[in-house]
Parts: sequence; C-alpha cells; structure tokens
Amino acid sequence: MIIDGISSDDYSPMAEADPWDLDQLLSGEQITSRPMATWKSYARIILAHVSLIVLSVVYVGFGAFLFYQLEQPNEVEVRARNIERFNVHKRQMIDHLWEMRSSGIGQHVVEDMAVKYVDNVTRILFEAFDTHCIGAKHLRPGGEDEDYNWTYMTALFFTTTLLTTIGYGNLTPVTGRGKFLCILYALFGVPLILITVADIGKFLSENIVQLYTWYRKLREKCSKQKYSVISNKDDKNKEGDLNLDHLENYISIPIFLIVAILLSYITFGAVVLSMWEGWDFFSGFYFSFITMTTVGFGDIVPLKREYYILDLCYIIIGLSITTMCIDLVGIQYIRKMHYFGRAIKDARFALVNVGGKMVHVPDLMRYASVLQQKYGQKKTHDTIIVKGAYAPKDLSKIRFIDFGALASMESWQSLWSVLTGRTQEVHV
Amino acid sequence: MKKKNGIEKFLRTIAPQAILVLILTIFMMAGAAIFQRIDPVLAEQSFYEVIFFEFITISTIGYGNQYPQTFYSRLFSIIFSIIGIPLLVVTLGNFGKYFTKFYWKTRGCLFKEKTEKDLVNDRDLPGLMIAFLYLVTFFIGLLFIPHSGASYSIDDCYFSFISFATVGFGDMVPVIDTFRKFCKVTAYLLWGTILHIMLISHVTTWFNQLFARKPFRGRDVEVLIGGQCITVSEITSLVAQQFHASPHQVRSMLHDIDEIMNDIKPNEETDENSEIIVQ
Repeated sequence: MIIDGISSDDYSPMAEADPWDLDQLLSGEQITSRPMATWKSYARIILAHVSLIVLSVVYVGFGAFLFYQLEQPNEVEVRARNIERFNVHKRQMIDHLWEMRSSGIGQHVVEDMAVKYVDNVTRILFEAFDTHCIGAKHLRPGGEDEDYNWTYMTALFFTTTLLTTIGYGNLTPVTGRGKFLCILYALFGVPLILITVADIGKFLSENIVQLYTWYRKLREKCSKQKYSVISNKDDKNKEGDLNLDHLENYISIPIFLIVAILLSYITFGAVVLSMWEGWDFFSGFYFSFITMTTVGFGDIVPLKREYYILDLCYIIIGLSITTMCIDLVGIQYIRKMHYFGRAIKDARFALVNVGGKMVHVPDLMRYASVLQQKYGQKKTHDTIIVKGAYAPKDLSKIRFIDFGALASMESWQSLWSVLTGRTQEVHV
Repeated sequence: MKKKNGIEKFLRTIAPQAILVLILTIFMMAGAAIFQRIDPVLAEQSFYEVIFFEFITISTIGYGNQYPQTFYSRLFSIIFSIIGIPLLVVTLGNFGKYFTKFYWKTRGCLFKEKTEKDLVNDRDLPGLMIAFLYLVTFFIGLLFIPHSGASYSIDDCYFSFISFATVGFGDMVPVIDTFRKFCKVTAYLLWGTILHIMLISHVTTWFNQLFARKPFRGRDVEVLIGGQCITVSEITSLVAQQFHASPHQVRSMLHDIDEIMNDIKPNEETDENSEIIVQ
C-alpha cells in the first residue's frame, strides 16, 4: 500500500455518498456507554501518574533511610575516633613536655620536641578534616554531638541529587557498603526518577499548551477577528469539527515564551535562593543553571538545612521545566519546520491512497477517532484529545518522553534526527 | 555499481558524524582558549586540563574539582553548556546508535541469523550484553584508570559508575597529570557514558513494560506505510469500509488482531492479516 499526499481541490467528499457511515452507526452506542467509560479512563490515567510519583517519593525516602542507617553510625564513629586521637596526642604532648622541663634537659631539645609534637597534631587535625566528618566547631568542649553530616534531611538531599544525576558531592557515601548500595540504588533509581521527571514535564507542557490555546482564543474573541476557514467539512459531526479545527490552527508555543518561562523560573530561583543562603544574585543564577543542567559542580551548594525540602522541590520542578522546554521547543517547533519544509501541500487536502481508494486525511482521522472512542481507551497524549499544539500524526513515535528513555539525552537525539531528516520510526 | 553505491552510502553515514566530531573539537578548543583567557585559575592549568574540565561540564558529570571562579567565566560556562551539552549528547548518542547497529550486524553475520536490515536498527542491545560490557569496562577501569580513591577496591567500581551515570560527586576524581592519562581517562569516560545511555534506555524500557501504562493492543500498533505511520485500527477501519463490513465485524476483528499479534511475531504482515480476516 502506498500513501501519497496529493493536493486536490476537485475532490468530492466520499463520506456523504458512503452507505457504511461509521459515525452514525456507532453514535447510538456511544452515548450510553460514554460517561462511565470516560470517568473510569480518566481515573486510570491519573492513577498511573500519581502512582509513579508516589513510587518515586517512596523510593527516594526509603533510600534516604537506608543511607542514613549505613552512613550515620560510621560518621559518629569516625568523628569520635578522630577527636579521641587528637585529645590523646594533645595530652601526650603536654605530659612529655612537662616531664622534660622538670628533668632539666636543654631548652633547644625541648623546643625540637615541641615542634615535632605540634606538627604531629596538625597532621592529625588535617587527616580528621579530610574525612569530612569533623569541623572546627566539633573540637570545642561539648561540641562532639553538634550537627552531623548525615541526618534524615541531608540523606534525602543526597538521594535526590544522586538520582537526578546532579551529584554535588557535598555528601557522599564513605563506607564500602554505602558505595555498593549507591551503585545498586542508582541503577534502578536513575531511570525511575527520569521517567517521573519526564512525566511531570509532559504534564506541564500539556497544561502550557492548553493555557496558551485559551489565551489565543480569548485574544481572537476580543479582537473579533475571525479566521477565514476553508471549510469543506460536514457540520453535523462534532468530532470531525474538532479535528479540523486542530488541523487549521496549528497552535505552537512561540520559542520566546518557552525561553522566558525557563529564564523566569531560574531567575525566581536565583532571587529566592540568594535570599535564603545569602548569596549574590548571579551566584544564585549560576547555581540554578548548573543544577538544571544536572552538571552539579558542587562549588556552590545550599547549606541551610531548614530550606532543604524547598530546595528539593525547586530542583525537581526545575528539572521538569527543563524537560518541558526540550519537549516544546526541541520537538514541536523544529518538527513543524521540518514538516513544512517537506510537505508544502496542506495536509487537510491530502489524499491517502489506501488499497486503491482515495481517502481524505480528515475523514481518515475521524474514523480513527470514532474507532478509538469505541474500542480504544483514550490515551492522554492522543492527538484527538490534546487541544492546541500542532502534533504530527506520528508524534507518539518520537522516542523521548513516552518511552521515558533518558529525558534529555533521547530528546536531543530525536531533535537531531529531525534536523537531519532521519526520523526514528518504529517498525512493526 | 553496487559496490560504488555501498561506498557512497558509507560516506554519507560517516560524513555527518565526522563533521559533528569536528565541530565538537573546534568548539572545545575555542572554549578552552576563552576559558584560559577569562579565568585566572583555569589559566594556570594546562590546555588539556581545561579541555577535560569542559568535557566534564558538558557531559554534565561535573566533578567540581575544577570549576569557573570569576563572574565572566561563570557566565561563559553557562553559554558554553547551552551549546555544548546538546552537541555532546547528540554525538555520543549517534556513536551509541552505530555501536548497536554494528553489534546486530556482526551478530547477524556470525550466527547467520535471519536479520532483516531495517528491522534491526532500533533494537536495543540485549541486557546481558550490556551487563557484560559493563563488567569488562569496570575491569579495564580497575586496571588502567588512575583515580584519587583507593585502588583495587569497591572505589574503582564506585568511581566508574558515578562518573558514567553523570552524577559525578567529585569525592573521587580521575588523575590527569600527564597528557597520556588525559587521553586514557577521556576515552574511558566517553565510552562509559555511551554504555550508560544504552543501559538507561534498556532499564527504562523495562520499567515501562513493568508499569505498562497501557496494555499492548494490536490496534494501537503503528504501521509504516510508504513513509507514513498509521495505526492498525485506522487501517482496519479503512479496509472494513472498503469491504462494507459491519461495526460488529470490525470489533471482533480488532479483538482478533490482538490475538494474532500475540501469536505472530511482530512484522509488517499485520495489515495484510486484517484484510484476510475481513474477507
């Protein structure tokens, strides 16, 4: 079978002449079964997303608990050992010096001894500091139990930065078991968080498209400017109307708006974070950017633990927004350009040759939609449901978010394949 | 004639990759020069160390042992990443894709498997193969890659994995004091990242199957016809219309398709099958 798009103005609609009118035959059954079915399918759709998010939260939380259990005792032990070692050396030094002083050995010998001891203690201090478990405040009397690196809160921060592959490195597993667990945990956790973040991003991008569509409609109403719609559609069919509307108004979010959203989010984060942490504005901006791209140098890291939860929310939402931007800009915009570059003829008037018979594309879509309503559960990202953005028919082919594979990586890859004209098609 | 076509095809696939790699190289070189100019700390380091810093940045590993410190170098690193990250991802992704293709082709030659050329392209590497490659890579890393952690311990694995996963805590960083070590480490990390992309895509597919947001239904399967994609349900409706079948017949047929799809291995015969049923 060959499908070829032919522009045809002399095309006579075949739906009217067709004795087998699928729409009318199916319409009766549709009404009776519809409300329950949509409600159910809607619940099912929501349930899937919510369960994904809940699973991720549970996974991150459980991981934080595990790492805390593994690493915290080690930290306590290392700190206690180092403080003990330091104190022992200090006492030894003082005792020895007093001993030498009282036994009347020459002054320069005592001085040499003292220098040796001080060097030794300094080395011990630096070694203790290298374990990252100890700071100046812990050497004060009664400071041994002051805030540990590993608390439930910081463990949560650690697992999140691990699974989002940001990896600041301000907190890392030290024990062998902790490192082993880290590998295993990330192996399954990274894809899970990737899917979740991509899912939230998809949700956001759909809402943005929806909002933008409303905005467009509102503006059109206000200006009373009506599009001159080339109509050759039958008005009795609502489904067909919708489809044609979508085909006529390719609503694409302008790239400017997307970049503005991303920039304003980062700027917002920069302002808030610099307020919390006492950074200057540009440091906050830089931190946000390095975080959103998951580079995570760790040269600037949030330190105020009371804001950690909010920081995490900011990071997760930020990553979702980044994914959303790649989704909206990278795919739709360029794909559309690509499409128009190739098919100069309007898709509405394209004829599809199916088994020797010519079919109008909108008709084909209408039948598909009726069939899908009848037989198929509605998919969330269906071209028929999603209002607004122009979505190519094989949008679901683009392997980036639905497949969940490596959100940024895959989307950039498919973006590239679009650019070079090599589409990734699934062969059945 | 055929051979000439083959060479031409080969060149045509190679050329964009070569150009991409070239662009990336020039981009890194220029970036390193600019970084050395605007950042006093990076300026003290050797050229390849700055290149390594750039690589760590745009691969989003970000160890954090080297980082921009002045206002302008921070600003430049933002701009650099905006262009660099997608560039590197695309390059690495393509390498991974060609590696996968190469694997399937070699396997096809070795085991005389019936591999249809086009069908093979999108398939991922099998999980066992990825695991095997990972183990080999870890072993190579254990032997040859110098890093700041303890050698011959869990640290080797941990360092490699955290780097490949582009987490890059920076508690263990590779040692690149000589140019040779720099080349070694960079090649290792590049390969590891490619491997990790494949692993992630494998695990993600597995996850998606596990969650199964929608059950497999033959009618939703999309078929490639003459460069365009159409779902089986669309084809069925069109075919049904052509043969004047009733809706009930169509429905039963759609159910049948699911059964057929479960029985027959997925190939491009589905639309023909549906035609047969209607008849």
